[in-house]
Amino acid sequence: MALPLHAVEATGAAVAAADPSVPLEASGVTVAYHDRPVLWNVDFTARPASLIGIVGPNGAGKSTFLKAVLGLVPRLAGTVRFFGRPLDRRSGLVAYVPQRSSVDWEFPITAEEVVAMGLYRRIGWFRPVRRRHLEAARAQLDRVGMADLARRPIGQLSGGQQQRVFLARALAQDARLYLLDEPMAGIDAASEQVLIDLLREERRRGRTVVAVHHDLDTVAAYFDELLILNVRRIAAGPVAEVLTAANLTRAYGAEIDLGAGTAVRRTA
Amino acid sequence: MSALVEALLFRAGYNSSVVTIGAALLGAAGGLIGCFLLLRRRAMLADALSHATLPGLVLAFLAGAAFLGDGRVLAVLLGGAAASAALGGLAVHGIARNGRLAEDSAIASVLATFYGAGIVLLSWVQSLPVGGQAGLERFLLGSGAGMLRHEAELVALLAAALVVVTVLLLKELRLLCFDPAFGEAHGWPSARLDLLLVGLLLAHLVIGLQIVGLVLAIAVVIVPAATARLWTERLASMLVLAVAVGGLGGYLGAALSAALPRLPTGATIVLVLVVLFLASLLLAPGRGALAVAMRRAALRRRLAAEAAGAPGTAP
Repeated sequence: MALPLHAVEATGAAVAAADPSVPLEASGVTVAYHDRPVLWNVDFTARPASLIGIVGPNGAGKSTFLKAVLGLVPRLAGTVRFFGRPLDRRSGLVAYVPQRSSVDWEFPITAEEVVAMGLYRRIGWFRPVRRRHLEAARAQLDRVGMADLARRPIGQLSGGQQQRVFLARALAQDARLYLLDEPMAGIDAASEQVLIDLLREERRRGRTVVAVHHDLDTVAAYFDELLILNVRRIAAGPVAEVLTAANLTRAYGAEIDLGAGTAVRRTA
Repeated sequence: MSALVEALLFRAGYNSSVVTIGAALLGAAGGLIGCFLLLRRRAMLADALSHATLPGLVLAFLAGAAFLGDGRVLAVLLGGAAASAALGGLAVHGIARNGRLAEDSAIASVLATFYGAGIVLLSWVQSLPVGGQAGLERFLLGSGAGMLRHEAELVALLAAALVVVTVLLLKELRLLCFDPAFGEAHGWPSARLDLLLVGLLLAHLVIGLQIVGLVLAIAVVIVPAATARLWTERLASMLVLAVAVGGLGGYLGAALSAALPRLPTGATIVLVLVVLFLASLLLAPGRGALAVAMRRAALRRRLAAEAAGAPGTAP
């Protein structure tokens, strides 16, 4: 993966990598903070129109993987292609939802103003946010069931409502690939249901969703495919194939008890 | 008193009127830029940069005296001030990025180093046999009275230009301050936007150096924004309020100092701003001390009423 671009493109793998129908193709992604590797040589290909979960223990590099493919943290090595091409952040093809804890929720801004940020790229540099943009933002808030809280300062919303605002902002971007960092962390059951329903709806529209997820109880119910990480890629593929006790033990280190049925329970 | 009224009504002579207008526009621009610095948690950077202007200012005076025969050429002085403030900003950035210091420690170190160096240079220059160095001290606390007509006009014009540039970038700066990771991921480069914000701050500090001075420059940038934040939960209203507060502070302060010429203009503007801030701290609805105390008292009354009335029933 340290090969120059022309050398990579001469190989057969690069022909497949240039497939414009593949939402995300990452190969050899490696990230180190100072001299400590946090992601090591991770390959991953996202299947179009699927819900993909990224799971792994704390410090496994799940969030870093999303940031690394987006170039938000520098990659030591690796190539990433979105829809067959190198990332163009302004293409509008990819929507990123950062962790909820990454922003200042005391910021003086209303829910609809946050959602309107999803339209900034289309509005363009130097142009103001207009009434019609806020109306479009309210339409997205309506989809996440928050139309009546559109004018509420975001600091007064619950965690689940804040996460719904974030999702509404991503929906407003009308992207083809969503990268979500811990969308279900610290939210109420009702919000979680709204979120997963909307993500399924986006899948039906042919969109692809990659979400960092922390709750092993729900992965089988929510996702079609999984990427199991612990610095290295432990396994990737359809949930039914890769969600095995052996893989989870390799990722989490401890005994993971696979209960009856599809749900996987983590022992205390 | 009548001198103050004359100054407030712009009847105290053309020069003083232009200075007052310049101070008002400077306050307005400071309020606008300050809102974003406050929300980006960069308020103290203004203090480091303004104090870092001093060594550049004194060195520019020396260069002017040596090469142009006069150290008091304003463009040279302000150019020197801007250059050394920029150097101070780079030092903060470098120390915080590559060293092992948090940004607040980096800011404190840079402020102390540059200001200390500036003061030493200033005392040394006072003893040199060149003319005009006494005028340097007015840059410390600001003096509208010492300004020439065209200087004051230029301050007003440039302050207005800063307002225009900031207004054009409202959306981008809001994104930078609220969610830089989201912005970065979608093609709004936060490093460049940060640089732009610091550039606006630097320009404001240099433009305001004569009226506000460097020691208290942070107040004109931060106090209007802090005052406005107390009154509202919406950025749009915060910006409008900060512009109004900054403009009012500049206008009243400059008029006061025109009427009482022995008051340094910068300090007078800052005192007016602080009065507005303290009043807001007390009286603002929502975040004001009085409103919070009243809401807590109401809670206590409700609790007492419930305890006395129907014990054990849910509200």
